Amino acid sequence: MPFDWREFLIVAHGLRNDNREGVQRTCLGRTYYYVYNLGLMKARAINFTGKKPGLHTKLWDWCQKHSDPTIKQLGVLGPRLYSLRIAADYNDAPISNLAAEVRTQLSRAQVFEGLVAQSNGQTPPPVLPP
Amino acid sequence: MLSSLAAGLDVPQTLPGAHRSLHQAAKWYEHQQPATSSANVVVFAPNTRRIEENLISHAYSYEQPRSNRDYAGQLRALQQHYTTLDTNRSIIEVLEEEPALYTLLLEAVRPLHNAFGERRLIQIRVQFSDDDSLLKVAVQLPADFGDDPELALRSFDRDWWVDNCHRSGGALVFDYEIRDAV
Repeated sequence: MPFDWREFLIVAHGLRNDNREGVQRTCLGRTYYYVYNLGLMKARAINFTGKKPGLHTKLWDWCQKHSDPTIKQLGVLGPRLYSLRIAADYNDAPISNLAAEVRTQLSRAQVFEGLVAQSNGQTPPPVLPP
Repeated sequence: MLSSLAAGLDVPQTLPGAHRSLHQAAKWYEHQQPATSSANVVVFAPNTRRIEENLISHAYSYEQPRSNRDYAGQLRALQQHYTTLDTNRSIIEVLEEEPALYTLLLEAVRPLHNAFGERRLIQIRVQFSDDDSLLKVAVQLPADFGDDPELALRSFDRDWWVDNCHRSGGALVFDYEIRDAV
């Protein structure tokens, strides 16, 4: 049984009110990796053939160039989540307004998964409480 | 063709300075084309290149150094609209890597202000991961920003970014940051 990447979102959502900076940064990173893997599966299912290195940028670039408006929208959202993941995992500089950034990251991830579900003709996953 | 072009530009062919200026403008123009450029531009660019070669081979009898793109100048132009948070070298490296970003960033200024309001501080920083790098543009908003910033961002997307994001190579991010929030 393949791993359900949405567990990352559930975990991040469950930890969203823990004020420890390490936990909040983890929320940003896990949420992004849910979106990244969801987007990557969607793109691979179409015709995306990008390979490492630089696979994150290649994926979002591919989405942004896609003619389907929903896929293109994924390409607009994805880099925003990626940017916060880089800030969380690579920079020791304080992240301004970290708790709000976590809420935004979670919210955008749910918009993202809704778009993927829409593109797949599926019902969107249940909305998580704010 | 050369003479007709020069006549069209009201430039005497005997003045090397005018030729040189034409050459630089053409190179800049060629490199600044968005991916959505029309077929007219595709036709124009090769013609320009031929004219350029003619100018170089006929107008100069000495070795003419080929100037690189003026990235420092590009950076100065961007700094009129954006506050850069990294070393100039870091920003220039990104501009070298993705030449389309310069034009995109200049074009983005008006849509950003339309969406978030005039006189917002807009910061640029380079973000590095193990894999790649991003250029992040962050509009700085006060904690009491009246409208929902996500709505403002969506209006920016709808009005401009969705139509232009394909030019960024996936290396450009527009977002906002709320300052001084409790």
